[in-house]
Parts: sequence; structure tokens; C-alpha cells
Amino acid sequence: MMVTEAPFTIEVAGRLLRKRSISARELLCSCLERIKAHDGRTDAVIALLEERALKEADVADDELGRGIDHGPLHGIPYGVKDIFDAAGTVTSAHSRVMQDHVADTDSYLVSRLAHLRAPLLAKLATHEFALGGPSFDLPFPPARNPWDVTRQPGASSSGSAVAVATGYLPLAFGTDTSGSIRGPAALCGVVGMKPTFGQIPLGGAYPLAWSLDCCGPLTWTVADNATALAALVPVRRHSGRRGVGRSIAGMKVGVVINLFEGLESVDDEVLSALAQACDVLREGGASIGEVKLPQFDAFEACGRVIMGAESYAIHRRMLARSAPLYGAFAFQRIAAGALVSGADYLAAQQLRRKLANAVNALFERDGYDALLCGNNFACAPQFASTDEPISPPGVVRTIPFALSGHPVLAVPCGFSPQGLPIGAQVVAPYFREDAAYRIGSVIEAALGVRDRRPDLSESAVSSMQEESCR
Amino acid sequence: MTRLSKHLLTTADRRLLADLAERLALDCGEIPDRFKVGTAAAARIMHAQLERVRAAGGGPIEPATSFSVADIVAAAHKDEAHS
Repeated sequence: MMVTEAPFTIEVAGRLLRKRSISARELLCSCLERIKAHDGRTDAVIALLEERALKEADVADDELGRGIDHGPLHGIPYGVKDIFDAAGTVTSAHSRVMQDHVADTDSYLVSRLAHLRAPLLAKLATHEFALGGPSFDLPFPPARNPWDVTRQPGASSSGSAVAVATGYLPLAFGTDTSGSIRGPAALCGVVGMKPTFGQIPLGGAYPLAWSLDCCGPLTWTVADNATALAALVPVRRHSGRRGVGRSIAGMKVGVVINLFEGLESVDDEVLSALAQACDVLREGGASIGEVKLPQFDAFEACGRVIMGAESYAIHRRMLARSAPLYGAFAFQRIAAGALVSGADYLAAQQLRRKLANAVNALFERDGYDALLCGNNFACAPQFASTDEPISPPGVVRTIPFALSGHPVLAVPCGFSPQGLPIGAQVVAPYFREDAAYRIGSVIEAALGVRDRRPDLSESAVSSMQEESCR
Repeated sequence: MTRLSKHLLTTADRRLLADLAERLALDCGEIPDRFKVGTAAAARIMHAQLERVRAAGGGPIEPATSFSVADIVAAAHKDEAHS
């Protein structure tokens, strides 16, 4: 059956499941086959939960056979960043420190998805404790960018983004504290949603920074993403699929023109992809205005201080007890948080409020329905050398909206001449994820960014490796 | 100490690391050698970020943005983000 040979979307699989053209078990097995065939080259999967997933798929099939349908994720296999607990399995957080930590119960996310009859197939690669990476001094290798396996796949939800880009899974979940869903989504060319802060409860997920952490879905298409979020947050009026495919005529979109200010360089192809996205919105009947955010440096300083203080508070005891077990990047970032005093933390939270108000004013005072801005200012970088003592800087600018708490859709908007993905961020007012999906689905449809998948054949991977050695 | 960190750590870095080690109170006594260079760099970056935050925050708070400690706790909830 074709669908088992090629990657599938939630939308297509759902249709076939309900027509009984395919079973949940067959869908699951097709994902397993792809993972087993290709993940040796991408290292996206930390653990396969084959037994659990097969049982859940059989229950899903049995219920569909009896006319019981738990909604659009029924029978859809998925994976989670390995900071989410799944009963009876290790939550490694990609760390040596946690290698013996077997979860007693499911996290909220996993439990909710089990209720929706989605089989959990894989625990996915991250950065150590969602902040220390990409790094080679950890118990598992870092995930690799499937568009060029010699390059980084982005920040800490990297395994989730890789699993979706490769078609290993149609749905994966990650967390975003300062950009860890949006960065990997941009560099791996998938759709990622950081919902309004607090939309998806984080019980049973290993925290990085309590006042910033958000959970969200990564998918191949905007429609799939909206479907996944709506299934998880059904009570919110606006978070569902309402926006997908709707006309954007009459919408007022603010293009953020200073997000990349202060950078030494921005890739030309990134600017040209963003300009194309703006044209698409204009052609769709949206009115485009130029807007400015407060200086990026202020957002970054504020975010780093808050993340530093909160992550140190979380790790304080474990770091004191088990310092040598940490990887270098996680240790250095967490330890620096010990320099933040209570007064500094309060000052950062105060600054955060001012910055968030400035972002929010663009919606509430100036009447914008959404903001459009860049995501990655350069294409995926090569991995740093293995003995690099300082963690490499990222190539995304995502922290402003982590601090403000607004929902942001990371949507692919083009490819570089070398075939590496470029992404945009669509920011919406609080609890108006539908507005972001509405804009994102228009960009996706117009720019044809869903026409190709990464080529992970042996010959393609060899040529990537040869090219990187030149 | 590794050759790399001997080569790269300045006197200021060593002071920074000693201060940090005291705050961290590690069971192993001091910051492990393989972390020293990166941790000193991360500490320098954090000091710079703290200066920026101190310059921008603190002092009298405008009524429109005033907040209490309770607000900070509430910031962890979605309703705070919604306000």
C-alpha cells in the first residue's frame, strides 16, 4: 500500500484509517520501518517504544472497528522529546544524569494523547536538559539535520523536528523555552507551534525554566499542526483549525523590520524568502505595515537572566551532587545561573513585563492581527568541532516572543540554493493561534515548500559528507 | 587541569571560577577541569547580560508596569500572559 511506503500526513492517514484502507498497526509499522532504515544517519530517536505503541495501535484499530472514534489523532503515531515521562520508560533528558530515571506515570501530554488513542512510538533526541547542545559528550549523539547530515538541526527539540522532516513520524512534540520548537522547525523545514504560554500543561515534563517553558506540536503541514493543537486544547475557542485555509483578505499584518538588527550578516536568501512571504500575504489581500520591536539585545539579556536563574534553581541540588555527570554545555549554562541574585531576577522580570507590553501593544494598540518576521538568519550551521569548549551561538532569533508569551507559528518559507530550509515566524495575539495558522497556511500553499522531503539514501548522505570535507 | 584550559584561562577567569565554585557548593569540591573554559565564558556572558538588565530594570516603576512578587508567581500561569 503506497501510504506505508511514503511519509504520510495526519490528514491523509486519518482519512485512510476511517475508510479502513489501512490500520493503525500498519501506519505504525511503516513509521518503524522508516526509522530503522534511516535513523542510523540522523540520530533523531533515543528510544523506540515498540511494544507500547503496538498495543496502543491495536486498541485504536479495535475501537475504530467498533465505531468508536476519539478524533483526528486516533491511530496516529507520534514521538516526544525525551523530557516527557512515559510510564515504565526512562526519561533521559539526553543526559547521563538521568539514565536510570524510569517514569512511574505518563506525563500530562502522553496521557492526554493516549486518551486520544495516538500510539507513542519514540522518545526523541534533545539537547541535555533541553539546553546543553548540540554536544558529543553525552550518552546519545545529537540529532543531525536531514537536509544535510553534517549540519545542526537547530535547538533542543531537534529530534522532534528531524523525525517529522524525514517522515519517520507525522507528529512530534517538543518544548520551547527561548525558541526550541521554532529553531529546529526552521532549520529542518517543518511546521512548529509555540502556543500561548500555558496552553498545554507541562506536568511530567522535565522543566528548563518554569516561567518560559511551552509545549507544542511539530508537523509536516500547517493543517496537521492546527489539528494536533486543537485535539489537545479543545476548550479554547480560537486554537483550533478555524484559521487553516481561510482567506487572509482584510487582515492587518505587521512585518517586524528590526529583528535581525545588530547582526554582522544575514543570509541573502533568508531576506529574499521573507520578502516573498510578504508578497504572498499582500497578494492574498492582507495589508502589510512595518513594525519595530524593542532592541533585541534587551530581550536576549532579559531571557538569559531569567532562564539562567530558573534553570539553576531546578538543577541546584543535582548539579552539586552530580556535576561530573553533566555534559560541558549544560553544566556551563546552568552554573552561570548561580550568578543571578534575587534582585537581578526581579529586575529581569520587570524588564520582561515592559518588553512584553511593547510586543502586545502592536496587537492591542496598533490593531495588527499578526506579525511576520524571520526565524533563522542563516541556514543550518555545521557541527562545531568536538572539543569546542564553548557552546556555539544559535542562528535563530526567537526569544522576544518566548518572553512575551504570544503564540508563534514557525512555518517554512523557502530553501537556500544548497537546499537548506528557511523559516518565518508568524506571531499572533494571546490565544489566537488560529490567526497564525491562517497566515501560515497561505504562505505554505503559495510557496510550494511541501513539495520535497530530505533524501536520506546512502548515496545522498555520502555526497553530503564529501561536500562538508571540501 | 587540561592543556586547553591552562592555555585559555586568564587570572580574571580563575577568580570568576573560584567565585562560582563557592556559590555552586559542588560535592566534588571544584568545577571539573573539562568544564572550566566554557564555564568561565558562560559566566562572563552572564555578567554582561546582568549589566544590561540592571541598566534597564530596577528603580521607580511606572504604575502601568508595576508588579509585586505575587505577579511573578502568577507569571507562571497563562492568565498572566493573557492580561
